[in-house]
Amino acid sequence: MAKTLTILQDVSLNIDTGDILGILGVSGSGKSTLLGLLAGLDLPTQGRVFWNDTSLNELNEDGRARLRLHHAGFIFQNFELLPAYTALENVLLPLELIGQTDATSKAKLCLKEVELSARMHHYPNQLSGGEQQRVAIARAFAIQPSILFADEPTGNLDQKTGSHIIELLFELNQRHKTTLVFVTHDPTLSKICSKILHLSEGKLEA
Amino acid sequence: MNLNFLSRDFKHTEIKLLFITMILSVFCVSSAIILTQGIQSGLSDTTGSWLGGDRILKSPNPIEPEIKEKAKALHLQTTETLTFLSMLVHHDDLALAEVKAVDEQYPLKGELRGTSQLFTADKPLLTVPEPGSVWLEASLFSLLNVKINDTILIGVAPFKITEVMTFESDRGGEGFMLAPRALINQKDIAKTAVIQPGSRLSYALLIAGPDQNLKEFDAWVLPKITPTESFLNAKEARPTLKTLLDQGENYLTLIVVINLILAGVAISAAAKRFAARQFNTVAIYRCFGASAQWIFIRYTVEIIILGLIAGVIGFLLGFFVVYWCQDLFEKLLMQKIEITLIIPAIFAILTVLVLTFGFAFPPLYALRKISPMRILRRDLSVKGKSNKGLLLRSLNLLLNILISSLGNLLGKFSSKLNVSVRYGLANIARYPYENSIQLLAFSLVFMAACLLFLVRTDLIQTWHNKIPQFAPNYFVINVGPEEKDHFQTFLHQNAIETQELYPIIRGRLLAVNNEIVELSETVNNTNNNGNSSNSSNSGNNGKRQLHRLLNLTYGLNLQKDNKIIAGSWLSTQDTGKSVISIEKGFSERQNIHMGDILKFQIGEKLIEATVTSIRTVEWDSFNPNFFVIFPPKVIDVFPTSYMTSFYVAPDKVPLLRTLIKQFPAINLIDISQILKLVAVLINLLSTVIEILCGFTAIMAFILLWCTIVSNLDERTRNAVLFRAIGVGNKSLLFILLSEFLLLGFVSGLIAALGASAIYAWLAINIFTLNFIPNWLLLIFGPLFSMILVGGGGWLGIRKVFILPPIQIFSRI
Repeated sequence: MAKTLTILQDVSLNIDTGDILGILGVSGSGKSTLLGLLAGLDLPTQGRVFWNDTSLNELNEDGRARLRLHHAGFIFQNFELLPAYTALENVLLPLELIGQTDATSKAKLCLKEVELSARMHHYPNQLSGGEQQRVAIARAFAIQPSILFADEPTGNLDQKTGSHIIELLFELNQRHKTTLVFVTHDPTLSKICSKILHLSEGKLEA
Repeated sequence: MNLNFLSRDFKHTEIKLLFITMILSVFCVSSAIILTQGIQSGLSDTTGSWLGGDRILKSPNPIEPEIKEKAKALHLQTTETLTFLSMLVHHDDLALAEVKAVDEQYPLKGELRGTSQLFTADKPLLTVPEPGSVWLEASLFSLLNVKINDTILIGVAPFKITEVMTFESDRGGEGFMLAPRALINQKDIAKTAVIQPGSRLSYALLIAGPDQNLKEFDAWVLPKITPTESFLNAKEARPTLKTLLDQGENYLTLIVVINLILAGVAISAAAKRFAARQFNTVAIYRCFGASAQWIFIRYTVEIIILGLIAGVIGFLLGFFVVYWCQDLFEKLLMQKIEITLIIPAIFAILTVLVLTFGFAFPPLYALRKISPMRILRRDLSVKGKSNKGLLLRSLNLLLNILISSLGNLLGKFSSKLNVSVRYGLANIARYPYENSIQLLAFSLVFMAACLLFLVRTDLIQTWHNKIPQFAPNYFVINVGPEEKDHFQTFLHQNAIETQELYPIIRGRLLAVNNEIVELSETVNNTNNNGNSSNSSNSGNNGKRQLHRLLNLTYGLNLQKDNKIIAGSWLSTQDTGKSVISIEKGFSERQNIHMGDILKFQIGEKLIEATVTSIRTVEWDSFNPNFFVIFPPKVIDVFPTSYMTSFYVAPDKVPLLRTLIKQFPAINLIDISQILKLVAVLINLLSTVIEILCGFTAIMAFILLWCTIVSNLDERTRNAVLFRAIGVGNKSLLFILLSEFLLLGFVSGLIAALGASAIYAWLAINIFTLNFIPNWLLLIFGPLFSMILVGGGGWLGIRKVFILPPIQIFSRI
């Protein structure tokens, strides 16, 4: 029988509106798992997660999906763009899911904000890594989420492009007044966070 | 919105394959059904032309008025005929003839053919004999020593001879009689004064009309048929036709079933792969807040739209192909083919529904269970239990064990082999689950292909064997014993090859084990070359009474198409002994078993004989065949006549005039028209089968490709890694090919064995073919599948050899 693996233990935290929370730690420390739990992508085997007064534990998969649909945006290390969709269609996805009436013009505006208007009809495999991540940023901000989750957003990019992406992410974050939770193993990014969590072997470090 | 999703998803190869497979399967099913229906409509005319109508009711008494009224009420066409034996007289010449009286509606289907001069090219005759005139068969001209425009007497009435009759629809190949035919108008019956109380007459009602009305009539009339009557459709009346059509229809059904199975597996494989490719997409949807219901609707609607579009395209393609082939089929059938679309459309819809919801839908339905967490942890798969059935799981486990053992075994033995080959063979054991699934799919494809090939080859061969190039097109009966040798000499001198001359002695079966056999009152009727007909009667369930007279023969030569199924064939030791060999159907109908003692009356004498063997006989072989065969020196003391069959080339037909002149007592029967019709049917069915086999082959290739690409990503990834660490193209090719070739070989072997086993069953139980194991299949089947799987594998993975590794990684 497989041995039970504890990934996170004794992790308790509050995130306030407008916070920029950085979750730092080495590979395998449980950063991404914590992000998944905070975003309601998964549920902890023990413990509770609240969004405002709503306990995610009380919601089923669809209930948590509904919360994310209206309140959360996501950016991932691997960009996670849909390969069969153009840049515009990728940004359109959350808008179509939410039932936005002027979804296309809104999506175009988002792409303009990340300076990709000229490449809106390009497919992910026709874009560079930086461009793909900008599309992902545009998609994340498209529904104007109240909270944005980013999992190592620069992990797959070179330093220069990564810096540019971080600048863009923070600029948009400030502009849209979004709460930002992001996972990184880059300690230099901690300077721009309002809160920092250090994870080590699934536990919070002091 | 779903159309947008569909257009986006359509960029995936899997969904294109799924779409193409659906189109092809609907195409195959609908074209097969459109074709079958069209051909059946055409055949009903053709087969009807073998009978003079779609149904025939024969009775020794006048047809009941209520039966005629019912047919009329159902808007069916009818015509009545009356047949009786009568002596025709011309001066001092006499000849016994079977006179048939017909009205102007005769025949309802098919044609009468004739000519105004003996043995010249005949032509369709569009009318029946005028009152006062008679049409005679060729042999009567010499028997009566008459020519066209001469007058003969039938009964007390004079008739003017106006045509040489060469063909009549309802005479067919298996229903001719011992006396030659004379045809008169029904209006003349009374004036012949031959119909007296006690006369032996045969009344027939021919019926024709739309299928539906005929079915209604059948249901109504069948319970009313008395034991002395027979009610037959064209198929039942003609064993040749029945065998051909049954085999053709069974094969078409087999094609449709195999197509559906292949399509189901292909679609299932493509849908599964498409679903696997959607895992990440669905995780993204879920991550951005899509509900399970939204995902369910998104994929369900998409697959329904896809199914509908594929269904419409497949159906239209089927229709257009049949429409395009219509000319060809009409030429082959020499009949107009009516294309109806309602039933094929219903089947097309059913096909779409079964393929969509039965095969494409389940993997997509499972997508709603994808966890959004997969976006962060790729190792998460679909939640929930496997929906594989116990049978599939067991089969998979079995193949799993087989493939692991095979891989390990070969791994051990291959220690001296090239290292690349060793790696490739070891891969088989490394991925037992994936490889066993592939093995299962490959085996299924090849098995289906082998099965279709085996049945098709044997069926078409059997059909063509029915009518060899020089199949006998003339039968001769009533050859007297004194003219037997002269007759053979005549044929020999004129280079006409004939079969053996079979003696015929007329006798009655009186009793079986001293139990009296009930006799029917039907007029003596002979089938296939002079034998008493006891063929199945749709009107009578179970035993049918025996006709008055049987044609008995004797000899020690077992005919090629006869097979002993019980006891042993007559030998020289049996000469002079009271033993007999009987035909299987005859034994079944009369409930006769081995060892039973049969009592016959021949002339005034009684003969008893014990059944020592039972034979099967191919009644549709166009060879003379007999129900009862004695050994020599038992019945040869009785009055005997001889019969035989032979082929007469068109340029030698005028010789027959001399033949008739030299042997005026013989009855010569021309069956070339029947042979032509059988040939038409064989050509048509062969063409249809070839076309549908072609469609199935396409389907099999698609499934093969679906299966090959189903775990190509894993193989490609490994191959790229090999290349990245410096393995050369040649070594890599060995690694990959050895894996594919072994899979191909094993699946080919399983397929050949499986197909042979299934074919053995089908051949014996469904197609009534002689099963002969095809050993070549066991050699070439695995080789062929090795080439196909190896070739397909190489095609699928060839990019590894061309593109830089990094470029391939970005595509996987």
